Amino acid sequence: MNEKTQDKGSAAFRIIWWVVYLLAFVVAPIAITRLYKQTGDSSTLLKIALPLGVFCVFLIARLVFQYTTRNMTRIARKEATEGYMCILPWLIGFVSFTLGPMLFSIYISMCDWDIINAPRFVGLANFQQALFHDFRFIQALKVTLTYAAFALPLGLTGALLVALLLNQNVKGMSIFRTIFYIPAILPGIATAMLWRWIFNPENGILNLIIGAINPRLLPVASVLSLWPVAIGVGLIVAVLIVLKGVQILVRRTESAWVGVMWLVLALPIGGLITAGWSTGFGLMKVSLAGPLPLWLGDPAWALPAFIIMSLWGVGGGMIIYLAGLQGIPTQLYEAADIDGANPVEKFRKITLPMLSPTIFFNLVMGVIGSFQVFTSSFVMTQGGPHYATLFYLLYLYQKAFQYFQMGYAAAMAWILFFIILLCTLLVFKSSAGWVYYEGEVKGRK
Amino acid sequence: MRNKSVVYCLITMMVALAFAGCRKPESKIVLHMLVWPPVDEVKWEGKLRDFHKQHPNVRVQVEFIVNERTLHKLLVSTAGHKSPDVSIVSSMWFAPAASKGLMEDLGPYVKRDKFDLNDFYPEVVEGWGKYRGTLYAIPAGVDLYAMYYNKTMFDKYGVSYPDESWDWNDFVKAAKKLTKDINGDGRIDQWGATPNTWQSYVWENGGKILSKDNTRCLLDQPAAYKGMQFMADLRNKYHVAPTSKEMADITTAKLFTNGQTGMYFSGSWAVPIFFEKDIKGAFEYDVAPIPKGPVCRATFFGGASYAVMRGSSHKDLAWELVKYMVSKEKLRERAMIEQVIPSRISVAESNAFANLPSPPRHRKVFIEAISYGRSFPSVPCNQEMDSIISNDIGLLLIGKESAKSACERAAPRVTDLLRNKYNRE
Repeated sequence: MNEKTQDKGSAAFRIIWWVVYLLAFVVAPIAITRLYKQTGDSSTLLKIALPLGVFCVFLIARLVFQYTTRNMTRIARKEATEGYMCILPWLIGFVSFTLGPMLFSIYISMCDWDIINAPRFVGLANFQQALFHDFRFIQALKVTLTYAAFALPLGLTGALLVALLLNQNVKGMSIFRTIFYIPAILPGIATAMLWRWIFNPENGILNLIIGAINPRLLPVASVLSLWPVAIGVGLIVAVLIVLKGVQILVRRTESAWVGVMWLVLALPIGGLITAGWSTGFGLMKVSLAGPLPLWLGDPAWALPAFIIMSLWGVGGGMIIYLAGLQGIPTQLYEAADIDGANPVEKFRKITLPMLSPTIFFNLVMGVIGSFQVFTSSFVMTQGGPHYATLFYLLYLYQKAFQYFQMGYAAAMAWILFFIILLCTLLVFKSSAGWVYYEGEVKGRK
Repeated sequence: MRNKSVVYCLITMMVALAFAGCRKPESKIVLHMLVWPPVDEVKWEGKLRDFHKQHPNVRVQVEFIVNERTLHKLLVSTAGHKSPDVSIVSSMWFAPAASKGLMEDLGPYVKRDKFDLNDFYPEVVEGWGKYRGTLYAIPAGVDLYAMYYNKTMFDKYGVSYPDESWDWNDFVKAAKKLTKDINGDGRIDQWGATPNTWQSYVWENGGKILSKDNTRCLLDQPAAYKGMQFMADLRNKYHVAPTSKEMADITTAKLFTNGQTGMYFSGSWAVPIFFEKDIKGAFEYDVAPIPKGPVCRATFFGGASYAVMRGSSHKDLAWELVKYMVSKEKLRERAMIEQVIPSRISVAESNAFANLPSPPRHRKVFIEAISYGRSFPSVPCNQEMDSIISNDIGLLLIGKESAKSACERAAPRVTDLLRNKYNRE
């Protein structure tokens, strides 16, 4: 087949395609609307309109594909086709089940809609109500942000620590890995039921352990919180700092100003440490002597309980860290060994930078995930007590499926979308400074 | 070759399955009805036997769904044009369902068939049959709280049995006598009572939840919050009721059936569901009216009714089914087996319910209580309102806040909710 015939063929095809486009996008919809107006029979027409819609989506996809690959060589186009083929299953699912509802929810977020009666357009009133007039919305935001602020770093470091442990060469390691990963694949409902039992204030395992440890820690804490002890610790620190300053002044290892600064700072730092020590251990003493936490029954302890519970899910992040750890070439560590690096230096200078893409991935997923807590609060607390666990998604669900304010819920969903988008973008922007990819030299790509 | 034949086999099977899906269109009219799951699903078929006999061309398809999910199901199925024909409706969400126009106006049907509404308790018809003057559902039962008490425990500590004359003081006095540390480990393990619902305490103290026109929450009035305070005091001041810590892993019903509380507020249905199974003659019990408050006696009541759905395509038949479900025979059956208080005066006053041979002996108390029963405010946002109030009294219940400050915070929030555009019509 030479070039010319191909051109002729494609020209003929092009005309046919244009006719098809015209039929699908213009003639058919007009005909269907006409028919609907004449007969008013929506159910039969839907049976025609639905396949037509699917076909239109296919046509749009073809147009998009042709436009994006218009300047490509034959091979590149073939590769692109293969690429699209690979993501096709996801693409079909997304377009048919997610994209439509998403677009619809934009419209609904500007309506007052209870599912049954026709949506009534209200402009931005839903957003206004949520952001300025709804104490529960603000509370939900507060709860979710607090949770994220604690659970996210805890989960990230927790997962990393577990992964480091499970990356050792010990017999039966795969069993340990399995054990640590199992919680991540347990269904949320089962986990929630389990933790409700753990947090039971009277018979739960957590309070049994705390109740057994507390009386033993109490004398230690009460001794440590005594004023003489606190002052003594502060004094020791101050003396050490003074010594350091004198050392600098005498040996001239650094400039004299640094030495003077050490001398000046000795007393304030010692004082701060004294104050911190006594308050810290004082608080510890009080809480140890007080009653055991009610956990889910007490507004003050309910959210901390959820944060503790979030550690249950470190298995998911751990498995990704493990993969990342295994991908670090061993010769780097061998070279460091030869240079005499200690384990801490190896961790800081090799493991962390090499692992930074993995950390980055886990961070992004963690940000998205920690804003979307739902199952546990739905099963365990229903947002109570006293709104303490009213997570954003739980409130959204209540609004949508318990109070049937779909428009309001859709508006909330879009606000959350932008919050998550913003956070993720921030993480992405910052990543240039701390994420290293293999073969990349810092500052230079 | 073998692979190919396997594929052919599979294709044949799939085609066969596809055809199996297309059943012959049923010659009978199918009525869909939503009800709450009974203890024994098999018995349900028997319940409809007479209806099927009266209407040989109709088959009733019953679908079970728990109360909490029923409204959701009704909304979604109505929106999808797959609404059931008849549904059971709870007083808890009757108002939201009615305000969204899910149910058919039954007024014309009642008029046409000269259906005798006067046989039903008027408070009950007002509560979960009518919404803003229009009849949407026919009540099938009443659920209200009275006070069960453990006779054996009362005898043991020489406390006289509760009766109509009891007020809050008598209640606290008796409860104090029953609260004990039986095993002597320094922790209370037997309590006088578990508190009733907060609504009762507010009403009995002369308080109101909402203003008459349903536009303002009145919980911030002294009469209302003082009643609420009394409820919290039972736990945190008089210590005659278990605190939330002490009953974290046990239900109030279980505490009573274990013989750990002397008095327990519950409905008549608790007898077949909890008591007969769990007490097994370990102690004797009876039921008394709830103690009257400083101002009046009022108990929280609700119930279920049957409604014809607006999306039904066989409304006349659906109405026949509703009439059947609330007929005297069916209500008598429910009263005797499930021990639900009948909504029909004639059935309630017959001996069907009051004279059941099993304990409690003073079952009549439940029927008498209908006259002072009050239902939760009938506003479209009542579920959201309930959620706000129960959250705002969370600190009160664990003794970390006074009822005054809790109610003064909750009331404007509820008022806001009532005036919010979603709930105005």
